[in-house]
Amino acid sequence: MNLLNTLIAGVSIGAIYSLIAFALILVWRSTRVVNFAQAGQAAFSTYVGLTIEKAVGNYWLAFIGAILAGVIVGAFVEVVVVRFIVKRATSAATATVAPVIAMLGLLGIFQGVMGLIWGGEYQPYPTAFAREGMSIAGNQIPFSQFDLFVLLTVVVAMSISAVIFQRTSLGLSMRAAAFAPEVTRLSGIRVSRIRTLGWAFAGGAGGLAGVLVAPTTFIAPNSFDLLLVFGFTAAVIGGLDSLIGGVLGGLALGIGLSVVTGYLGGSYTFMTAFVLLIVILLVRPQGILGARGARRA
Amino acid sequence: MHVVHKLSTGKRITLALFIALILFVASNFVDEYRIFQGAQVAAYLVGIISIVLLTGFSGQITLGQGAFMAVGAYSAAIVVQEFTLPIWLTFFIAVIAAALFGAIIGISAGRLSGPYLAGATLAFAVGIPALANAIPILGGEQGLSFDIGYAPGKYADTVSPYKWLFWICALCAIIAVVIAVNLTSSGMGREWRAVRAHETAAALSGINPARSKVLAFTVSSGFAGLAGVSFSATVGLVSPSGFTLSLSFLLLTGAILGGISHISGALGGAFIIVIIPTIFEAWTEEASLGVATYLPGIIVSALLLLSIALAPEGPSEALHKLRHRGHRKP
Amino acid sequence: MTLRVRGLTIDHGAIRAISNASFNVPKGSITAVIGANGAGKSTLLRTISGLKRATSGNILWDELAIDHLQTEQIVRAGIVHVPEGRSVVTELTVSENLALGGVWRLRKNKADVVRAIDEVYELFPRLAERRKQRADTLSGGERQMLAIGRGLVARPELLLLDEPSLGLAPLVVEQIFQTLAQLQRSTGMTILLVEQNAMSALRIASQGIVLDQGQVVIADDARAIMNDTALRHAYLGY
Repeated sequence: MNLLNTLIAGVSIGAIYSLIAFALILVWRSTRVVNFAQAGQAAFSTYVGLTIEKAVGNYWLAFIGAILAGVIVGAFVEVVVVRFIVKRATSAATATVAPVIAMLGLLGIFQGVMGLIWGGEYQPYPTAFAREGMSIAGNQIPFSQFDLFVLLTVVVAMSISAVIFQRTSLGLSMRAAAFAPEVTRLSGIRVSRIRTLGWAFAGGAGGLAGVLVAPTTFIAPNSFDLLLVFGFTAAVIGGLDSLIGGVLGGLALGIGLSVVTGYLGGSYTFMTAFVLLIVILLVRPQGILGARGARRA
Repeated sequence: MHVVHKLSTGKRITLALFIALILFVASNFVDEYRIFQGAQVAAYLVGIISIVLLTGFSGQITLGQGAFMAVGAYSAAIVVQEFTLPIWLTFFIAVIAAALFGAIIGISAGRLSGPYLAGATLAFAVGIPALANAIPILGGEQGLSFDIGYAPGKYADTVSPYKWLFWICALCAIIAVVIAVNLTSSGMGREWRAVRAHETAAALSGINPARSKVLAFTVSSGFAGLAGVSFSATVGLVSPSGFTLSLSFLLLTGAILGGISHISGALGGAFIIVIIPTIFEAWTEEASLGVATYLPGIIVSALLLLSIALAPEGPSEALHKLRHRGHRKP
Repeated sequence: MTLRVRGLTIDHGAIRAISNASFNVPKGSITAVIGANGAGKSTLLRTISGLKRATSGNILWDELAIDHLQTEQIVRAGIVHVPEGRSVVTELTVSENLALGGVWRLRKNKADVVRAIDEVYELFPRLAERRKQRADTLSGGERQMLAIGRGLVARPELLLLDEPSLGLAPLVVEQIFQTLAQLQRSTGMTILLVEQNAMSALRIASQGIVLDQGQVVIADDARAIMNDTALRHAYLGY
């Protein structure tokens, strides 16, 4: 039963890694930028949610508010920062380095601003669901109502995204814009708007990830940095070019880390993720589901 | 500062000795706290040089210099725990250990580029301190103490520990700069730049890009190791919390702001990252604690963002272009 | 609507790709732009469709000056550019590629978009057979048909075609050109066809424009150009 327990425990956190990976991959495919500032955006959205909750006392309003904040911030970042950076990058060497550094600078700004507005101490984030393990047939499993909520929410979010991407003309435009931006422009589609939408979408996903993870970890300006690293690891494992890969990578990572924590103890958790990332980058950098040659930025 | 590159090695060393002498004399007239900051600047300077070499010259983005610094610092600290060694030997061990580590990492990381490389170095930056935390021999969360001690023998009374610290760090920094300038004006520096600009073209002209990149990692890590041990000397302690991700970012920021393509920018960058918090301490005495804590970080990050947005090739390149704009052929 | 190009000069950095080009593209016909490789033909099309900005000169679509418009706006004005190199989105299916051409019109007239896609399937039956297949499983000729089909779904008044014959077998090229001629006759659309394969292009065109090193050497009746052996030898290599 022990293995099963750790597997179950890993699924819930794995779902959150999937969300972050989803946000990172979405933005990578449409703009060829890895949004290291995603941690800051997600934290900011979560803080907005917290503020709403404190002001109004309604968990669900806060929930929606946080996601909306994520969407708005995502769009804002694309329009104000990313467009400018991508346009200005002249040589190939700069085109890969400059956006990374710009996003890091942005992350720093976010974290400073959050500290200014909300202070640096860890603050608890409320939850609408019980957090003790549920009982099934008399046995307690390490899976609470809250975990179930997290899992279901992520599944719903992913399903909605899948439907949008595969079955709507908006999704078609987004996919085409990511694969072949010039052809898409020549088809009369405003690719720049589509890109903004992609970032907004990713921002919303990040905000959702934030409010789903916040009740378990408390929130401070830096609290999602580690989450970003895990999300990035999940994205790389699955393949930075594959949304499905990222989602699966997140689940795999969550379960894998949970197993390691269960059997070897918590201090090895981070090490394992780190080792896994390095191994994947060396052995199969395009990820499990990515296409060959995708390693080049 | 370009003029330095045109000097011969002999002249460079003379210039370095001259500067060393000036610093030595000046240190007797400046108050203790400034001397301590000087030591910090020296440590950061070496760290930033390591980034300039790896990212500016060899074109490999690194978010993880903090990890290499930690390797150097921990190596020195462990050795000192067992043996009593002269300081220069301790520092040397730090450099070698970090360089070896860099070589190993470089073999693997050299095959990556762009966000993959960034992600991998990011993982090092967070992973190495986490590792240090987990392994008991490295002192866990408390870390290991690292004391440079006092000036030898009869000088122990007249020379304050801060001055002694400064002299050592400054000397290391000066040596580092001389070596770095030599490297970058040599064939190796040109090789790095060639590989950075166009890997295939470089390969076709007989350069081995993979070897060049690994070499860059090795050399850069050596510098980072030196920075790490200098840095730990200023703190007196080698612990995981001293080598956080923020440190790596701070160094990268200093490198970008100073101008990542040239060694000369490193000094400017080091000054910026040490001076800005100091300036803010003075300005925000009246302001709330919140503003004082966070505003410097915001300003520095904003500067970084602006700098990379407006001058992606580095401020020195942008200035260069501005100066020569009138002379372009039609 | 007529396309008028006046004094167009286009630079690629320090290189002058097109100097002072002026010509008209008469409505309801096929105009062939021909010339040797590097003569600037593709650059010309890319500038008309807004992917590149000219250094000086005007491009007029009837009374509308389009030389400073965004590509997306130019498409909506009725000018569709099918770029060179079988420009399909390889990760999407055939039907998705075609649908892409109609996305911008979807809200205005969904029924017509559906109709347009059906017309493309009629025009290129091979595409209809491979509707659900990913574009990267298609042959070169089929991809070219798909790229043209996508352009047609946007119901262009002016279709800009960049070297559709490049890299294709002669039989396939003939097939495509015949289809184009037939299309032009039945819909009355204007086609500006850039080609290295001068003979095939001139045969279906009514006007020919010869470019040499970025300059318009001659703009004349296509038949006249074909019959002018001296011209052919000098600029078209045959």
